[in-house]
Amino acid sequence: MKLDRRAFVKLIAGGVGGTLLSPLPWKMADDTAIWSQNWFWRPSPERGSATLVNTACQLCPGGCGIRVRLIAKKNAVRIDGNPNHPVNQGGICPLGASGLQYLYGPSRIETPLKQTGQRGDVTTLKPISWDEALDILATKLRAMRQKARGLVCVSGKRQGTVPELFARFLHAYGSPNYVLMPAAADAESLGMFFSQGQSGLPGYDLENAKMIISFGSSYIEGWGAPARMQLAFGNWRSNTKGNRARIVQVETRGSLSSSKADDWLAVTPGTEAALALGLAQVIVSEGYYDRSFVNQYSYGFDEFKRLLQRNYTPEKVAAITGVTREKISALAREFSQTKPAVALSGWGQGRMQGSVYDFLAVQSLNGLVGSLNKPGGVTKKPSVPLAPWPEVVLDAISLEGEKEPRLDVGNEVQSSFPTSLFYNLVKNMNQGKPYSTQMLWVYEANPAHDLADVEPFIEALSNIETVVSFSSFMDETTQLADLVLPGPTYLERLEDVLTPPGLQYPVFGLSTPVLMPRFATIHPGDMLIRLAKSLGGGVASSFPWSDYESALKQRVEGLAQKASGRVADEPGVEPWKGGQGSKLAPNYESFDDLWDKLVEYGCWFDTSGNMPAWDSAFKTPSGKFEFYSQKMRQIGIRGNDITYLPHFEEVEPAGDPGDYPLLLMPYETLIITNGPVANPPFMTKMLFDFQLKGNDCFVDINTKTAANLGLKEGDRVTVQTERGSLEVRVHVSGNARPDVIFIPTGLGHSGFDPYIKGKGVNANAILVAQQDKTTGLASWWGTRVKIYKV
Amino acid sequence: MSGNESGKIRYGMVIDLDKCTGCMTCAVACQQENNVPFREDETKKVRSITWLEVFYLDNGKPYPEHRKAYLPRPCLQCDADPHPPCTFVCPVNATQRDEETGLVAHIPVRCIGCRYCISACSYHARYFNWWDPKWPKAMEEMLTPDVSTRMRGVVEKCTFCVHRLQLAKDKAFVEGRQELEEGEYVPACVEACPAKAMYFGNLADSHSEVAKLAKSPEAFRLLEKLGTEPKVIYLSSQEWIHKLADNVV
Ligand code: SF4
Ligand code: SF4
Ligand code: SF4
Repeated sequence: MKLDRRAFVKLIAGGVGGTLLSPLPWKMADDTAIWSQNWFWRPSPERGSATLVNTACQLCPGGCGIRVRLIAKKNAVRIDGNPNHPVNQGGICPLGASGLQYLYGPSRIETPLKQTGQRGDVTTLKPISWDEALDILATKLRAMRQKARGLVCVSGKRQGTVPELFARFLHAYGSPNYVLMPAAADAESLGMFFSQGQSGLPGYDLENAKMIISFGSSYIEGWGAPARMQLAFGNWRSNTKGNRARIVQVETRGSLSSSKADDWLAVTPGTEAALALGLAQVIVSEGYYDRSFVNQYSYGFDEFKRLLQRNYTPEKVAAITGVTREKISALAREFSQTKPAVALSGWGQGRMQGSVYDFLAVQSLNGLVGSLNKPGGVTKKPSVPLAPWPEVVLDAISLEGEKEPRLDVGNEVQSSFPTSLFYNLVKNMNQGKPYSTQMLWVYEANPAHDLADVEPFIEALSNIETVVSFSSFMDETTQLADLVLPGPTYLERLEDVLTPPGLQYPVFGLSTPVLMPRFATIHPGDMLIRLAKSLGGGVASSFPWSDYESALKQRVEGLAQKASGRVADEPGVEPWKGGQGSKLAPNYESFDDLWDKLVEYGCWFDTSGNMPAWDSAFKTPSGKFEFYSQKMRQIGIRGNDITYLPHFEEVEPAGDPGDYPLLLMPYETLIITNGPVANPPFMTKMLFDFQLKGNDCFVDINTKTAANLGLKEGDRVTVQTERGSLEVRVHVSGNARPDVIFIPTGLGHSGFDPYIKGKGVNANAILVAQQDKTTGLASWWGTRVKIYKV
Repeated sequence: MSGNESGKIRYGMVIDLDKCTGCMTCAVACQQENNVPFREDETKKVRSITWLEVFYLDNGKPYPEHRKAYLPRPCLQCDADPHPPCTFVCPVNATQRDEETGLVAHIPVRCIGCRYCISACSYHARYFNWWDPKWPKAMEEMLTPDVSTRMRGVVEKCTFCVHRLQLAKDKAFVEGRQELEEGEYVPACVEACPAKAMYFGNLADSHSEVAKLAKSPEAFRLLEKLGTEPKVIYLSSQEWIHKLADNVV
C-alpha cells in the first residue's frame, strides 16, 4: 500500500475536526456501546494453564525446532521457534508459524476415503473404515505381487525413517520404483558422485564465511534450510559480532535476495554457471587459485584450465552473461582473496533439478579458491550416526524385483546414478514402457500441482489402475486418488527430522505428538508395518517391529552408542564454532536417557568439526577431487572431452522466438509455500495487492516493455506458452528484465480450502521442463511466452 | 529495569532493515498471538486487518538498478507530548497511553467504532472490524485465551503484545521481584523474527540495547517531521530508504 504524505495530513485533519463537536453524543454513544457489547456470539477462547512442548517442524525440510504452546494440555494456540535448537535459535519462518492452521484447518481428511465414482470427483470420495481401506490395499497388493514392479511410490520427503520404510516396503515387495520428487538435490548428489566419487549432498559452512556468491539461489527466500538462512543473513549483516560478510547475488530477477545482497549481478537468464566459469578462468589465469589444494587433492586441473582459457575468458563470459569484463575480473579477485569465501548453487528454492554441470561449475570454483572441506567453505553434509535396520528379507519375487529396470531410468548409464529422475518416471508411466504401472503411492507430495510442467503427470495417471494418497489434506493429487489413507499431521505424530539441506553439522530432530490426533488417522509407519504383516512372507519378515516407534528407536540406538553429540538443552549453541576435529561430549548416559531428553528438548546435534579427512574425502578413481570426472567415463558416459569437465551448456528455452517473443520465468517467494501443503490464511493475507487481488494473481513485467506493449498496471492479460495459457494481471516493475515476464509459483490451487482455492493460477501448468539427454535431469527456469490483453 | 537511572519506562522497538529479509514471519506471528481474524479474501487492503503490516519500498529506479525492501510496521506507539494523535481524538477514552510504560492501549469493548482514531493515525496502524470475526469451527481451538476476540464495529491495533507484559509482571511478582529484566517482556513479532532484526526494550534506559541502537547514525523514524515521536525506530544504511521514510510509507 502506498500513500503519500498529503493523504496522511488529510486524514489527520478529519480526525481533529471530530473532536470539536460537543462531547454529549459521544458520552451517550459510549454508554450504548457498553450496554450493547455482550459479545456472546463471537468465540471465547478456552482458558487453562499454559505449557510449552518442544517438537520439530516438518512443513519443509528446514529442520527447525519448534515449541507449541498448549492451553489446558489440549488446545494448541501458538507455534514459535525453540531457542535451544541450533538451526533456528528461537526464530521461525512464516510457514512454521502458521502450522496450527494446518492442524485445525478445514482441508484435513478425517477418515480413509474410497473413490466410488469417477476419479477426480471429490463428491464420490466416500469415507470407509480403516479395516476396509487396508484390506482393499492388501488385496490389491497380493493380487499384483507377481507384477510387483508395477508398484511405484513417489515421496516428497527425501530423508528420515518414514521415507526409508516406504523404500523398504517397495524393496521387500519387489519393486525398484521408489522415486523422489525432483529437487536440486538430485543434481547435487549426481555432481558429488561425478566429482568426489560418492553420493551425498553439500553442506555449507555459511556461519563462518566472509564472502558468499550465490549463483541463482534464493538464499533468503526459501533456499536450503529457510529459517537457518534468515539467521545466517542477520549475522552477516551484524555490525556488532564481527560476523559481517559480503553477499553477491547472481540472478536475473530483482528478488529480495538480489536487493538485499551487497552486489547484484543481473545476468542473462540461465547463464549463472557461465559466470562461475568466468570467475574460475580469471582465478586460474591470474594465479589466484589455491595451489596446495589443486596440486595435492585435485585431478584434471590442466584439462580444466585449458577449457577455461579457451571458452571462458572474461570477453566470452561477458558476452554470454551480460556482466562486464571488468566486473568479472574484479569479482574473481575479490572472491579468491577473501577468506573464507563460498559459492552457492541450486536455482531458487532448490525445487528445480537443474543441470549437473551448473553444480560442477560452482563446486569447482569452490575447489579453486580452496573452500572445499574447509571451515567457511563447503563440505559433504555429515550424516547422522543412526544404527542400521536389519537387512531386507528378500524372497523369490523381490530378488527378481532387484533386477528390474527402474522406471525413472531413461538410458543405460542412468541406472548407476544415485539419484531419482522423476521426469523419466513421468514419461515412462505415460508410455507404459518398459512396463506399465499398476499402482501409484504418493507420500508427502502433491505432484498434480507442484510439479513444473504438470500436465504429462496428470495424463500418466489415466494409465494407472490405482492411485493411493497418504496425505492428511485434500490436495490436488489426493483429489485424483482412488484410495486415501490419511496420516496424522506433524504435530500429532512421532517422526525423525534429519539434518536439513545445506547444513554443515549433523542434526537429529524428534517430532513428537504434542496433542492427541484430532482424527482417526494412522501413522504411515504403522500403516506400512501392518500392511507388510498382512502380506506375509519376505515382506512381513522385513518389518519385524511391533510398531513405528520401535522401528525408530532401533535407529536412534546409534546415537546412544556414539560417544559424541548433545541434546539441545540450552540456548545459544553454535555447533559451527567447533573447529576442526572437535566433538561434543554427550549430555546423556544411556539410550533411555537420550530418548527421554529427545522427547523433552526435541533435538540432538554435533559440531561441524568433522570435516572429512583428506585421504578419505574423495572416492574417485584418482582419490582426489576430479575437475575432470573419471567417474563419468567409468560408468559409461560417452562424449567429447568437454563432457567430463564442468562447462556451460546453453539451454534454448522451449518455444519459437517468432511466436513467443518474451521469456516466462517462474519465481518463488517465502510468503507463498510451494507445497506439499497449500498456503495458509495467515500467509496469504500478507500478499501485496500487486501479487494477488481478489482471485487474480499478477505477473511482473518491466516498465519499458509494458509501455511498448501498451500495458498498464493491473491490465488483464493472457500469458501463453506452447504448453497452454493462463489469465493474469500485470504488475509493472523494475524487478523485471525487459525481455522476461516473472510469474509466482505456489498459487492456483483447486484443492484445499476456500482460503486458497481458486486464488491465482498455477504457473506449473504452462512451464516446459527440459530434460538433459545424458543425465535425465530437468530444468524449467524459462519458457518462451507471448502476452496479450484479454 | 536495571541500570536505568531515571526509573522511567518507555517501551520501544528497533527494526534493523539491513538485517530484515522481508520474510514476514513477524506479521504471521502477530496474527497468531493476537487472534487477528482473517477472511477468504484479504486482498482489499483497506479492509484487511494486519496489526503488523509489511510495507513495500523500492528505490524507483529501472532494472537493474532497482532495489526493494520490506518495512514491517507495528503500531508505532507514538510518544508525542501530551497525546499521540489517536488517543487525542477518541471521544470515549477507548484508547489511551499508559504513562507508566508508554504503551498506547486500545480497549475494544469501549470502542464505539467512530473511527476517528483511524483517521488520526498517520501510519495506518489502526483497523476497523467491518465484520464479525469468524473462524472455521475447528480453528476456534487455536485462539489464544490471552487476547479476547473482537466484534464488528470496533477498532483494533497492535498493543506491543501488552498481555505479555502482564504475564511477565505476574511472573516477576510470584518470584518476589519489582522490576523486569531486559528481555523478559518481548512481543511475539520480535521473538519470532528469524533474522533477529527486531529489538525490544526500554528506550528510556540508556543501557538498554534499543536505546543504544536508537542513537545509531543509521536510525530514523517514519514521518519524523509530523512530530508524533514514534517509539518504533528503524535502522538502515540505505539512503533511499531514509528518504522514503520521510515521505511515503
Ligand atoms: S523453515 Fe521449514 S522447518 Fe523451519 S519453521 Fe519454516 S517450514 Fe518449518
Ligand atoms: S520477521 Fe524479521 S526478517 Fe522477517 S520481515 Fe519481520 S522483521 Fe523482517
Ligand atoms: S508488538 Fe505484538 S501486537 Fe504489535 S505487531 Fe508485534 S506481535 Fe503484533
